[in-house]
This record gives sequence, C-alpha cells and structure tokens, in this order.
Amino acid sequence: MDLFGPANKPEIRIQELTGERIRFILTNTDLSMANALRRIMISEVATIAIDMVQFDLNTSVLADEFIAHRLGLIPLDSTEADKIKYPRDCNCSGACKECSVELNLHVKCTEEDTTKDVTSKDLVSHDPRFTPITEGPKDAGILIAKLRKGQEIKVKCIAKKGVAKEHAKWSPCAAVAFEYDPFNKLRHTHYWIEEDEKKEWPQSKNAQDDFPPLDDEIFDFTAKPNRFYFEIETIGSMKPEDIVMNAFKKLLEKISSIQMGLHSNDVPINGREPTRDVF
Amino acid sequence: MNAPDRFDVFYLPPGSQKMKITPDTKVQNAATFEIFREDHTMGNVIRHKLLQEPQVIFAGYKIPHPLEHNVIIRVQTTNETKPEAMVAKALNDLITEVGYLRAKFMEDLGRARALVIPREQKSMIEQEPQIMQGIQQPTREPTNTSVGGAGGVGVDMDF
Ligand SMILES: [Zn+2]
Repeated sequence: MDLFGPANKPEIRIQELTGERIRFILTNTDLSMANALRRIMISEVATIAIDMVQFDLNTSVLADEFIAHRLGLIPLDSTEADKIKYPRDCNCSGACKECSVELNLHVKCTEEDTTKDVTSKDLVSHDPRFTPITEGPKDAGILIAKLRKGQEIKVKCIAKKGVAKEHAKWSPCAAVAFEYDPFNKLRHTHYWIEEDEKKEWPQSKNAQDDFPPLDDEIFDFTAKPNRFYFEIETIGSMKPEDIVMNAFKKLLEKISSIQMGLHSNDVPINGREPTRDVF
Repeated sequence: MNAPDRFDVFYLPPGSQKMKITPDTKVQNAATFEIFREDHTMGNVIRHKLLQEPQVIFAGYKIPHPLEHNVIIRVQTTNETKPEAMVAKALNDLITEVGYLRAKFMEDLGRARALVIPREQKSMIEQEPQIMQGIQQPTREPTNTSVGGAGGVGVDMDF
C-alpha cells in the first residue's frame, strides 16, 4: 500500500467494548474521514423499526397517534437487518415478508383498582429474528401505555427497514461521542475563563490517551488533527461493533456509487452537456 | 398531498444519474461536479482528499439549497491533469483508505472481543461492565431502556 507512507498508516485501537458501547481511537486520518464515519453511524446505518400501526381497538386514555409514535421508538433487534429489503426496493405493493415484519399487541386490563402496564414485552413478533430487545429476564420492558380496568389496546404493527435520515427512530446509536485534541493544542476552541483555565475546564477522559503539551511548547499553526476519540453507545438494537462495521460498509458503498456515477458520465473534457438530465 | 417522499433525502431512483459534470466555460481545467442525493458526509471527504493533491489548485464543496439534497464540488487543476482525473483519483484513494481502516478495525476487534463478557451472561449476573487492559472505565449506573424525545423528523445534520 503506497497511498500512505510507512509512518502514517491509519490505525484503529479499540479501548473498550461492552454489550452496549464501544470506545476506540482513530489515528492518522483526517478530520473529514472521522466526521464521515460519525455522521454515517448516526444517520445511515440501517435498522428495523415499527413504521405502520393499525389500530383495531384503543380504549386507553392515550390517542392512537401517541401510541403509534411510542411504538415506533421501541428498539427491535436489528442484527439481521441486512437480510431484509428496503420497502421501496421490494416488488410487493404494500408489505410482505421480504420487506417487513409484523408485530401484534393485544392487552386488556381486567383487574380492579390497579393499572396494567403495556410494555414492549407484550409485542409479539411474527419473525423471531426481529423482536423487541430485552436485557434478560429481569427486564420489565419499555412502557408503552397504562390501562385501567376495562381498557384495551389491540394493534397490528408493521416494522420496516430504514435509516435515521428518514426518521430518527431508525438510528442505532443513542449517542456518538467524538473528540480530538483534548488539550486544545491546535487552538480550535477558545475557553472562556474567569481566572484559571486548568481549574475551570477539567480534562476530558480522552486526555489520558493523548499527549499533553510541554510547558514551553510553541504553537504549531500548521498542525492538523490526526487522533480522534470515539465512543458509541447503542440503543440496543445492534451490537456497537456492528454499527462501526456497517458504517464502514455504508461509506464504501457511498464512495463506489459516486465512482460509478463519475465513470458513467461520458462527458468529454471540453463542453457538451451530459447526455441525460436527472429529473 | 404534494409532500415529497421521506426517503427523497437520500434515495436516488434506479436509472437516474448520480453525477453531473459541468466544465467551466471561462477557466481552464476547472469543472463542477454535482452529486445527487449526497450531503456533507461525502462532500467534505472528497474535497479533503482533493486538497491533498499538489495538482489541485482549488477544491471546494457546497450544498446550494437545503431542500435539494445534492452537493456541488468545484475543482480546478494545473495543466498537467484534468478535474475528472483528480476526482477519480480522490475516490480511488478513499476506497483504499476506508477499506484499509475497515480491515484494521476487524483485526483489532478480534483482540477486543476476547475480553468481553456476552451481554446475556452479563445481565444475568448483573455485574459491572468489563474493564479492558487496565484502561479505566467510568462507572455507569444502570439505565432504563427508553427512547426519549425523538421528534417526527429524521436526523438532519449540518455539522
Ligand atoms: Zn415486500
């Protein structure tokens, strides 16, 4: 690989990996690459989420659209989201097994003097691959609504594959923390201070993995950021490492589609309009 | 009624052009590349790669209108080459770099995964998150799984 010199090959070092978060350091790339990765993880990694809700019965105190919205935000296991088609790519007219998952919810409160919780555990999925996530048997599930005696909710939900650019419910990330230059050596930020910068601005946790400035260090105005700290926390629908892997894959797909667009453009170097307009 | 589809933000119908190249009529070796259905993610990353080339005199990108989901990249090169060639090179280099990074990530994942307790097992014993390789991890109180405050719109980023 001669694109990078021997000393500045891009590196990734995973600092921490648990079931719901990953922390890694990306080095020897530029800010645009790190930022592209961050943006794709937030808004372009595909997951499954409830997208349509058909109300057969709703005698609860909550309005239909309120419940539908809450259902949409429930994380569904999306580890196998790539096995399902985007609804717009499917040949069917509405929703079929290739492009959607049906989930049913039917709860009625029959007890006197108590309220019954309707939770994500009451959702019954038709496809075992795409179910509401749980954190084990102790998990009480995500509260959707509360019912009083005699109240009932019966709905049919259609979950579909999508990306968060369309609706935030499809984002696999709860948070993506992104930082570079924790010591502000590049002076990309200016700290507003009362008296003492060190006292008023505590160091970030990434500072321990960075190189502190020397006391007499001269400001290098040509320096560029090349060490990026990421921390991704998932919503539970996908493993954190899968989010990063899918983001890389998506980024490659995006670049290739532009590459194909460039090569299919048989425009000669000087003049002449493109053969076909887009829209 | 006449609202555009929600996926119109990022989805290009099959068969339509991804890119339109318009050579500059007044400046030699300059052209604008309009990329349809892309945003700052690709615009910035391509611009950055172009600026690393010594033959590139100018490279910049913009999103002219917030309701039209297209990016414009303008490139001017020296006489040695053509803008199209430089964009092609930038895209090639990007593929190499991302591919390399992905391989690096997978490589390190093997090491990291060996140190993780599977999620099911962890929730059963209700223990603290794993600490890896002596790197200090912040203590974290158990969180309620709930999706809060998501509005009716997609993630729309301009930063
Ligand atoms: Zn279908």
